[in-house]
Amino acid sequence: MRNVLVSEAVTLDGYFAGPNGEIDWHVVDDEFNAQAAELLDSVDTLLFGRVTYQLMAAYWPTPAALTDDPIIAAKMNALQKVVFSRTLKAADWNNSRLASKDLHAEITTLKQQPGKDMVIFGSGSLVSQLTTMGLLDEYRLFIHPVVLGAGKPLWGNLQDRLGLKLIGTRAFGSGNVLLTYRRP
Amino acid sequence: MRRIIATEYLTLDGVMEDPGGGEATRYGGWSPGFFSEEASKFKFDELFASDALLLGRITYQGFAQAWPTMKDEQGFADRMNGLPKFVVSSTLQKAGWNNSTVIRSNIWKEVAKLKQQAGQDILIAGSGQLVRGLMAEDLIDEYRLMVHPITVGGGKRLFPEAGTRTVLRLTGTQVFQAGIVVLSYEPVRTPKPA
Repeated sequence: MRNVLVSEAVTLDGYFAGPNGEIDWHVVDDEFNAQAAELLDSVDTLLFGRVTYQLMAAYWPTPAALTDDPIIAAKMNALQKVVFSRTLKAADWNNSRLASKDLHAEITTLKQQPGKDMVIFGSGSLVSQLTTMGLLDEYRLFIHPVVLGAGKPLWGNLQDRLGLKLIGTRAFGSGNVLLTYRRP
Repeated sequence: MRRIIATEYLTLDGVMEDPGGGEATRYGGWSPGFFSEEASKFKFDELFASDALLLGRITYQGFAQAWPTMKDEQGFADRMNGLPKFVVSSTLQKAGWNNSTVIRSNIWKEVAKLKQQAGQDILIAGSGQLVRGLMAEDLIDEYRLMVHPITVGGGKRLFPEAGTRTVLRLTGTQVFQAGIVVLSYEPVRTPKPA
């Protein structure tokens, strides 16, 4: 069965975005892009919540993205995408579809299909729901050296304790630390 | 000048409340399963590199209850009990733990004075409210966050929720056997214009 990985930028105080969705504190540099390219090569599907999907759909197909980040843009545009949204009517970014089943059924079905792993970027609400359902296999957290003081907490809706297994750490020149955890 | 070091047990969701569970609070008691020999050495080294403890009332009271009866071969408890302790509180009547002084007023000035004295590091453990106050005054010189591989879903958080953004500089990472990662940071201080 294939895994669902999560790749998240997180602040020291546990937010994945500011109170109004701000992500201007994200550090994207060559070192980050190199690992992102590696990650994208290890998956064949991207899973999205609506907000992150719309952000990325508005960026990656543009000439700016194709010029500034050609390698990542090519991969992001080519990969299969599944979007979870109750309000979105269409998903027009190349190779996208709206999930047709409820979240649990869709993910379980996808996991049972043959193929490479799947990854979620951002999509805080989706991550939170899937964490509660126990359907996420690996969390790759890029801890940024910043305290926001307010924002959208990555683990905000979790009521129960969640113990994870640390499987790797890596410090980046930017001051980010990648902490990788798996569900035990 | 001495450095003030905040050493903190932290969950992945940013909670610092009662890690050991001694205060029997709702969200406490999440750290014991992750302690290791490496963590013990880390705590030992930083304690012996310090010659004063600076604590908020709640952490002080927890420590004052636990440490005086403890004993170990390495001398950790002896040092905890022997070191000068400064507890910041406007309400604490009595600080009975050996070698304790209460700082009741002019807190930031008193802490700045301690930093001016000669000596080793000044160590803060726990003491969330105090850490947030000192952070706002830019009096903390290093943060050592022992990030535990667990989320607890609620409880007192370490960092301020005042909406102010603070950028820190990563100075080191250490990984311990049972999954604790120590992330060390220092404040980014722009030199004053000449």
